[in-house]
Amino acid sequence: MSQAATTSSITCRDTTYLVCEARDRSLSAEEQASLTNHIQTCPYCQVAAKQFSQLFSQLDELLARSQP
Amino acid sequence: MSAHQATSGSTPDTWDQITRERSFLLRLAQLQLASSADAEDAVQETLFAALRNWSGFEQKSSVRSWLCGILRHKIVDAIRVRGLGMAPIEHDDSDAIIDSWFTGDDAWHPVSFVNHLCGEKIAERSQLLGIIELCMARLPEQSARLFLMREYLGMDLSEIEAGCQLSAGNLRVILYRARMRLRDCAVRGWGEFE
Repeated sequence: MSQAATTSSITCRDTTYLVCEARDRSLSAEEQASLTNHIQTCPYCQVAAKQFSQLFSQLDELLARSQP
Repeated sequence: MSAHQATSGSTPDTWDQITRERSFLLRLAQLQLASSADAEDAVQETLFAALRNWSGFEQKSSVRSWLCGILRHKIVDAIRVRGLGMAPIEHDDSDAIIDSWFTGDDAWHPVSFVNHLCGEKIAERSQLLGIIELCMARLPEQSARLFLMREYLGMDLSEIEAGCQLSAGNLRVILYRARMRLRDCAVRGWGEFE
């Protein structure tokens, strides 16, 4: 799905794959670096990453993920 | 209702607070359990367990979150007995919708990009969680079911793949679509409060 993540330059759509997959698995160092690089230079992805993080923390609260 | 009278530490108001969440819990359970009788049972057991343990409810979380935590155990128990059941193939137009959010170069489309953040204007936690709940209800049913196996029941991807006879690739795509659509729906909801 995110082949481009192995190179240093990824697209906005690739960043959404990575941000979503990070919910299920740890990203590789390369993936994490590509993601960080892209987000630093892309105002849209900065906003989208923040939105995802707000959404995920609300989901955790609603579905009581932090409870044992 | 005589149930509350038999339980120390709870009041008629307690029972009201608990049963108010019944329909939300039932929807969660019905998505996870193929049999609606099993879903009813799981919810009923959850409500009674909550009533019995009301003194253990800490006000740190909402009643709904607390009940979701109890229901999770009931659902996991039921799945252990009955199995997960195959995921039905259903029509899903998510790909076309998601495509429309990007340009031909896979950049966010400047016209359709929604930039609302969840601001402080939504002071009420229940309003905020209400938006998420509404958005989950709008997901295609199969997506919602698999999404909640992962996000609510906390199952591993490999468990879901085996239990629902899905390939790893399929499951990843379904979870991706669900998260993308939830974000889109949620940010539009946040925008309503600005």
